[in-house]
Amino acid sequence: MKKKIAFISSSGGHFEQLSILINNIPSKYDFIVVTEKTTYTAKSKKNYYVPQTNRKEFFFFFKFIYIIIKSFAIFLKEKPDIVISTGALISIPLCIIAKIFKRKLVFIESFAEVNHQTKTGKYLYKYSDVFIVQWKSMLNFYENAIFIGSIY
Amino acid sequence: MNVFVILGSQKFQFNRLLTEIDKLAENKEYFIFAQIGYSDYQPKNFSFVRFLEHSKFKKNILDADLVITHAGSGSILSSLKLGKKIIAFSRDPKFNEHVDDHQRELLDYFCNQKYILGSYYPSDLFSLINELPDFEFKQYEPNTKQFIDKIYEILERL
Repeated sequence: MKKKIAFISSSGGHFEQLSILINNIPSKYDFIVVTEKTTYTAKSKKNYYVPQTNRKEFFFFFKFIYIIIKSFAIFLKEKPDIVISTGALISIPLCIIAKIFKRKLVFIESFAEVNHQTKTGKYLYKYSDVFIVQWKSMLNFYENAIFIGSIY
Repeated sequence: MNVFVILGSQKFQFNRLLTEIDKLAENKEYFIFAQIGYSDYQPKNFSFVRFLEHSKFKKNILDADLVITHAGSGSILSSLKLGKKIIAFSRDPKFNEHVDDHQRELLDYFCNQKYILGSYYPSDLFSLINELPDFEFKQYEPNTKQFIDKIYEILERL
């Protein structure tokens, strides 16, 4: 049986980076994609959407609770073997749920962070089975990370 | 000169940059089209949309002689990979343009490496445009294939 990957990220640059991974996935994997709903999102059968949000937004707390519930529903329906995330905050629930159910978590710290950790990366570092950074300088923050250069 | 302006998809405005673009657009030598995202500034001198789906976005970059963009990695890298001249500006959280100032680091790196021209201050737009004729933009070499090979190799061993 094919292994299933759940790709998850917020919109913008995080999703650009995730898309590069999705477009090059070997055929041996099944996959689903979870991302933020934006006005210009292209629909695809394998996609799930959560509300677009960020930590400065007024309704962030309520949206985040909804995202936790939806992430649970997605996980129980799809049962991925591996969760791959490029950040940001909205991916945390699904990543943690995956670890609770003993799946593998792969986190890729954003290309946009040259000398600073993202809040999401800092939080998920201890839970990740594989933590990837795109700048050598980031190994100073994440000792056990793997540096494989830029995704772009 | 065809100019494509990219402000990205995040729920933050970047009106400061749009104000400068409006001034630039008074010069009819520049034919400007902008993707303005969540900005609420009303452009007077150039046409715009809020968002573009992927293939139209790519086409606008391809047709441009110059790309003026916020310093988001997707926006910069999409344009660099298509060999475009780029002037980028970092969003500033002090003006509620993003959650934090992480765009500055990316801007610093790409400017120092001479892949792009850029500034923290949209008011520098005109002086950066004046630098264009004499500036030698460094060509960007993608690392995607190496990244993909390595990551899927790592996944095999999981």
